[in-house]
Amino acid sequence: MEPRNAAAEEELVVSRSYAAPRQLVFDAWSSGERLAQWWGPHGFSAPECVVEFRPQGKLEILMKGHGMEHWMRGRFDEIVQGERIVFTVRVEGLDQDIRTVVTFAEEAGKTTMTIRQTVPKNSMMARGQKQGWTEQLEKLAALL
Amino acid sequence: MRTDALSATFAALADPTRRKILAQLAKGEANVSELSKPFEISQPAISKHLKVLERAGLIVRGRDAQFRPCRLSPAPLEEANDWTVELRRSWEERLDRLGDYLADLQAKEKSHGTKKRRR
Repeated sequence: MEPRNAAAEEELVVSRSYAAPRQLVFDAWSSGERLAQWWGPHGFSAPECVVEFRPQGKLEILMKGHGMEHWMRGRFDEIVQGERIVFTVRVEGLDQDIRTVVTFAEEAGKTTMTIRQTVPKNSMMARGQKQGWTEQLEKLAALL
Repeated sequence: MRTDALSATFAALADPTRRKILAQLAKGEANVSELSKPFEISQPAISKHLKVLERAGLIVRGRDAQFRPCRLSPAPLEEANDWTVELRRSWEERLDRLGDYLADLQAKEKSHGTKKRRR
């Protein structure tokens, strides 16, 4: 296997700890009814939320807010009970698939959920010399 | 959605010469001849790059027909930068809401539990 080229992939990592048992946090993903309760984000609702909670099952969410509506559609790649959820989705209008890996770890009654999102090679974000322009962009942003 | 504008921004930023031009303009406005000096490329080539940047809304050019000074227009840059920031922010908000939802579920569970015990 080729080593992953970090420079060609954008990775976003967000982590949060909850005072709740792991199974409860995991289950929040397991049906459309539950997912719609929190999918948001702020100012957005999820009036339609299709969750076929099994590998290759559909994950389709209509996000509505700020006068806009857009669908996010994809499939679950992997589900490991209580531990790990992997899905790949595409937001309508963006020409890229986004792969998300969610992991759950429980310690001393607290559950830490970690979201890792990668935007693969040849996507809009990764086009060109990504690292180069990110650095440049940061420098520019500092100057502006 | 602003996807097309964002794509134009990223496409414009994908070229190293254009990024250098932007970095140069971040120091202040300049015309084509001033911009072509540090790059050792022809003025027509610079002009081509400037057209791409202008179409992407990253620079604006003055009306003065002879000099047409260019200056940086930061809005699309900020938006492009925002895209990743935005992604993170939406996850943070989502995770906040999940926290509220979980607390809610647990509160309900607890009150049910108390009722049972009292019975």
